Formats: sequence, structure tokens, C-alpha cells
Amino acid sequence: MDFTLNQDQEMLKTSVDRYFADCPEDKNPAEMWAEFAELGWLAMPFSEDVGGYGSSIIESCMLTEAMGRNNINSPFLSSTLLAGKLLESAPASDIRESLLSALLAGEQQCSVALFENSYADTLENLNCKAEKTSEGWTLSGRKVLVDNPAANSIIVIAQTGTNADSLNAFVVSADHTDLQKQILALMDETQVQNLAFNEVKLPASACLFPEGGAANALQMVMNESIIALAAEAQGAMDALLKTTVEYTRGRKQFGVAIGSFQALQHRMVDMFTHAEMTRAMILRAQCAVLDKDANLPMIVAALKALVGKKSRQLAEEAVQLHGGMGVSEEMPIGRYLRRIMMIDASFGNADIQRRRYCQLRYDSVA
Amino acid sequence: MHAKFSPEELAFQAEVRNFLSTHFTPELAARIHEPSTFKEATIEWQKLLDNQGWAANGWPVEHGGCPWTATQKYIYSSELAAAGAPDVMPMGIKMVAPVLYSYGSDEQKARFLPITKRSDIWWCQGYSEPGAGSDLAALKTRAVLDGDHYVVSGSKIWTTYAQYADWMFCLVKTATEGRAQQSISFLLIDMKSAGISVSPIISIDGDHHLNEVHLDNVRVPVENRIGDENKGWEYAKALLNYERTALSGVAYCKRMVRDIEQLMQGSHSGFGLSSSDDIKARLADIEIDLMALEYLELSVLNKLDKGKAPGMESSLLKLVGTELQQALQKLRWDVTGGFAGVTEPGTTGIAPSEYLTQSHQIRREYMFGRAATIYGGSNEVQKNIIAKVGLGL
Ligand SMILES: Cc1cc2nc3c(=O)[nH]c(=O)nc-3n(C[C@H](O)[C@H](O)[C@H](O)COP(=O)(O)OP(=O)(O)OC[C@H]3O[C@@H](n4cnc5c(N)ncnc54)[C@H](O)[C@@H]3O)c2cc1C
Repeated sequence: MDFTLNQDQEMLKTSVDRYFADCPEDKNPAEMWAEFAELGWLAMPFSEDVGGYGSSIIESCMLTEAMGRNNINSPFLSSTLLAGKLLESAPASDIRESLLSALLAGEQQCSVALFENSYADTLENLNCKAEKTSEGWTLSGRKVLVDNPAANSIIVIAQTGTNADSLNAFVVSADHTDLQKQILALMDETQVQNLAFNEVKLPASACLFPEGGAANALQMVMNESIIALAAEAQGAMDALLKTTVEYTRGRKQFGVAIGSFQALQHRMVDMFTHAEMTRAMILRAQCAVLDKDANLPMIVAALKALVGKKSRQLAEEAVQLHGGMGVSEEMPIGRYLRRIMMIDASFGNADIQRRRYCQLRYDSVA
Repeated sequence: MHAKFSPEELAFQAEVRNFLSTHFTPELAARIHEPSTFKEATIEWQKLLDNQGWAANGWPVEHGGCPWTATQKYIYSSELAAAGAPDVMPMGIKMVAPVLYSYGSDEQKARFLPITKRSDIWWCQGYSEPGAGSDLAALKTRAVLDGDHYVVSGSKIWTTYAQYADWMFCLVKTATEGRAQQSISFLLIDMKSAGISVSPIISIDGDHHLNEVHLDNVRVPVENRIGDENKGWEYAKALLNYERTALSGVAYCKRMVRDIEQLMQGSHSGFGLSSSDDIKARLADIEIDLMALEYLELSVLNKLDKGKAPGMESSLLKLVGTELQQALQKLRWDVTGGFAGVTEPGTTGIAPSEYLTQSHQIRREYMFGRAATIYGGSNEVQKNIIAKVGLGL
């Protein structure tokens, strides 16, 4: 057992932390994306076979955690960690190689269209259909809450039949003329889109897993993406705790710093405890990935449940301890809270995750 | 002892229900919720209540209040909440008016009570300052006597709806020596006076409720001072207890419980959360507390009915009530599974737009609801009061 970072990881952490600490919140997204590519971050999590550096979940989390800490929204998670890693896990094909090389170079972005009703959907209850035709495939159904409407292509998850391994993934160009789109703005200043497919025709080559295996691949990349998302929440939690401690040190009422009141000190200790618990749980989930632990899905459900609950409690406390300043947009507190709420919601919130954990953990007991 | 309504009380309940169903139209409700029409629609609504004789129901009868029993007050606020109808804006009718009729001169009462009751003027509360929040007595806004005027300079902050206000009731410092609490006076300030400027503070729900009010040598006639000079703290403190009793929000909580029940049924079940057992368990936890709080509030109202002033109990009600409000706001957000995070639903109308109807209200009330444990004296301050007054610590 060894929880220490190696030298390369330490160096990466230093440069990632510095980059995001210096990054203005309103930085132009295209410019930031080009810089990510230049710094090699968009290639980092991929294997050397496809031109990447073969880094692990540890490095991916360093990036998302720093983004969370500095309130930076970026399609890194949806495009690189989810769509990109799903592409990578597909067998070799022209479409896979050309998309991957464009993603790694930062020339394009990609997004996975998964959910159909809500974030509570699971891979077992998807209804979007892909029918095989003589020319290729015909796609019908709808998808909701698809990340990053700016993505150039969308990987649509659809059923090709009725058996357990009939789930597959189809590449659709975002400017496909038959695609109906509805863009939604979210409270954390990101956007998602709902998509409707009314017999959309695709070439045979659009199918990424002709021999099957999409569901397993998708489950794995989703697990890792959820861990990276938890790390983003961790960054936000750490930032909120730090701001709150600093604020209560400086803010004077009744002639003393409000941080000198034990009632408030204990509340901040609770916030600290929340943040340390989630950090430890992220470590546990990272180890489960690296050790190929068969219980990973259960551990990820536990992680997402814990982070959803604790991060929201911590953010709400940060508002409270700032008094009026906490509900004012003059402070960044509200923005962190809104982001934390959307992180909790996406991929299923703490209630859904707890239920998933119960199924995975106790169904055999009952 | 019993808790059943008498035939008269049931008739009163029917009267209120009937009034609400004919006057509180969905169209009016929508305009009150919409920020751009909030002010005019609110005034319109309050005038409807006043025509009915109910706007200032808590006032003494001689000033236009209603001779209601605690039970009637309870019925009234429950019915309002059940219909989703807002009670009157508190600043005028519920906050400054009790100070006016308790400590104001006859001229002040005659000048301000009728127009306040009719909602002809909009009031704001100028207490808090950048350096004086929980420690309100540390306020610094100075009022210096100059002939028959005070010259007032300083800054107020977090002033709710100052952008709409015609008048502000304000705490100012009128002495530089002695105990802080004995150097504060209570002034009524015309917001059109020269030297007043109002700047907006956007809150975390994205709306403009709050403001900073800057006073730069504002001339305020001495006749606008309530009661004696340097006694303002006493008057304001009495008022804070009224404010807190109004903050328990049992009726609002019940409305949210109903919202959640609706979200758990029907077309919303696509959230994947809605009717699950764990959501029911969370709702039950809150509702059980709410059942107790409702009787806590009723017993306090009952006491007030017998002519006793609210004391430490108002802190207790504020504490429990605001915590339950926040728990319900959080649960109501959670049952939408994140859909209430959608701020702009686009236009082309691909499902699930049906989920989005209530999303704005659910999101805004959750975000702005975080403030309920901060204003009206923060919950930490309420706990300090209960520890001191209630437990003698
Ligand atoms: C939405 C909203 C509307 C408002 N509307 C008005 C208005 O219309 N008019 C008006 O005058 N004011 C208004 N206020 C101001 C409100 O009364 C103050 O925000 C409140 O008194 C707290 O003061 P503060 O914001 O300076 O926080 P602080 O007093 O700085 O408090 C910061 C934190 O420290 C805690 N704390 C402070 N002292 C103690 C203590 N002794 N022991 C333990 N904990 C303590 C507080 O509970 C809080 O958590 C409004 C505030 C909000 C948020």
C-alpha cells in the first residue's frame, strides 16, 4: 500500500494548480481549450497507442479538482474523460482514429448522449433505438441533459436489440441536419442540450462497437468520470472552507473576530471533517480503479452519495457563516454552491446513489 | 382543551377560501412571481386585501385591524398559504406599523398608518450596516441635530426592496457618548430626500432584492423621529420579536409539502426519484417536525391572544421554522433530480419541458431561502438569546 504521488505526478500537480489559480473565471473557452492541448492535458489520459501519455485517474482528478477549486467550467470531463475514453475503448476503426486524433489535438470536442428522462436513468432502462438497415443505421428516440452543446460530435448510446449486450454507441455529427436540438442553460453557467432523433440515418461506420461490449466500456468510463467529478466538488469544498475560515478571521462583530466564537469554530470544524471524509473516499475510489477492484461500481455509488451530501452541507454552511455576504453575488460562494448542486445532480444525486448502493450491496442479503 | 373549529370558525374559513378563489387569480399570482411586475402586482394584491379589511389584520381594531382570535389568525394564514397567496410585505404593515401605533405621536399615526394600511406607500427597513449586522448596536449612521432637522450620513446595507421604497424606517446614532443602546434613535426617512442613493446587490438566486442605501447629509425633519431621542433601540427591539414570530413560516412549509407530493405523482415521475421510499422517509422526517412546530406556533399565538407579548418563544419559532423551510426547499429541489437547475428551457420544446414549469420557483426559493437563517437575527443569534433568556446561561 502506498498513497504517495510519484515525481511526475507531483510536478504535474504543481503546474496544474498554478495554471488554474492564475486562470481568470471568464477566460475565453476556446483559448483555454487550446492551452489545455498545448500543455498536453487533452492527450494525457490516453494510451500511447493513440498518441497519449498513459496517465491514470490520479492525474485526471488533479485537473478537475483544480478546476473545482477555482470555479472553472470546462468540457474536459465530458469531452476528454467521458467521450474520449469511450472512443479509446472501442475497437480500431477509421472514425475512432480520426475523432481521437482531433480530440487529443484540441481541434474538436465530443459529448456522450446517455440520459433519456433524467440523471436517474441507468444503462438497463435506455429506450433510444438504432435499427440496422442496408445502408447503415437508423436512430430514433430522445436524449436529455447532454453536456456541452458546443461539442462537434455526439456519441449516442442506443439499443440495437433486446439482449443484455445490445447496447451500442453511435457517432453523430452535431450538425447532422435531421437532429432536433433544444439548448438548456443551467444554474452553474454551463449548458446542456436535449436531442430528438426522428429516424436519423447514419452510415454503417457510425457504430463504435460492431462486436458488442459497449455497455461494459461505458460503465467503466462513467465510473472514472464520476470520480473526476467528485474531485471537482472536492476542489470547490476546499475553496469554500478556506474562504470561510479567512472571512470569519477578518469579520468583526461585538468587538471581536466572529471566528473567535466557539459556536462558529465548531461549525467550521464540521466543514473540515466533511472535506476530509470526501477526500479519503475519493482516494478509496481511485485505488479501486487502479487495483481493478470488482466492487468499483458500489464504491463509486458510495462516493457520489457521500460527496453529494457533504459538499452541499459544506456549501450551505459557508453561506451561513458569511451572513449577508454569503447570499450576495459579490462573493463567489453562491457560484460554488450552484456548481456543487449541479455536480450532485449529474449522473444521479445522493438519493439515487444511495439507492444504487443499497441494490449493489444488500440485494443479495435480502 | 380541544383543537376543533367552531361553526363560526368554519364559516370564517369558508369566507377566506371563497375570497381567495375569486381574487387571487393565477394571472395575479404569475405577475407577483415575475420580477418585472412584482411591485405593481404586490400592491394590487395588498389593496385587494385591504378592501376586504384584512391587510392590517394584526393591528389594534381602532386603527383598522381585525378583532380576530388566535384561531382565526391561524385559519387566515393557513388558507393564504394553501392558495399560494403571499401575505403582505412585512416592512410596512407588520414591522414599522406596530412601532408607529405603540410609540408614535398622534400626528405620526394619522399621517402614516392609513397610507401604510392601504399600501399607498412602500416601506424599507434601514437597520443593518456594513459594520453592524448581528451586532446591530454597533451602527454608525450619524444623525446630527441642526435646527428642526437631523442631518443624516452613513450607509445601510441588505435593505430589502429599497429600490421600490417611498419611505425607510431607520436606526441612527444621535449621541456619541454612553452605551450604544442608549444613543440610537428611530427615524422615518423619505426616500426622495436629497442625498439618498440606492445601489443594487444581486443575490445568489440571481435576482435584485437587496440594496445598499447611502445617506449623504440627508435632512430629516425632527417630527419624523418616533418617540424620544436615544430610545430607538428599545422600540426596535420590541419590533424584532414581532418580526420573528412572522418568520416561522409553518403555512409556507405546508405549501412546500404539497408541492413535493405533487412532484411525487403523475407526469413528474420521470425524475426517477419521485415516489421512492427514501424520499418519503425524508419528507416524513420533516413533516413530523412540522406537525410539532405547528402546535408550538399555535400555543404562542394563544398566549399572545391573552395579551402577553412575544418573548423568547419568537426566537424558538424562528429557529425551528427556518430550518424546516430550508429542509423542504432542499428536498423539493432534490425530487426534481436536477431539472430545477435549468434556468433557460430553450424554445423548440423537446420533452421534458413539462418538468420545467416550476423549476424557477424551486431553484430561486432554495437559493434565496438560505438567507432565512441569516436575516431577522441569524439563527446563531437566536440560539444565544435562548441560551441566555430561556436557559439562564
Ligand atoms: C435576504 C436578506 C434580507 C435582509 N433584509 C434586511 C432589511 O431589509 N433591512 C435590514 O436592516 N437588514 C436586512 N438584512 C440584514 C440582516 O439582518 C443581517 O444580514 C443579519 O443581521 C446578519 O448580519 P451580517 O450579515 O452582518 O452577518 P454577521 O453578523 O457578520 O454574521 C456572520 C456569521 O456570524 C454569526 N455570528 C455573529 N455573531 C455571532 C455570535 N455572537 N455568536 C455566534 N455566531 C455569531 C452569524 O450568525 C453569521 O452566521 C437582510 C439580510 C438578508 C440576508
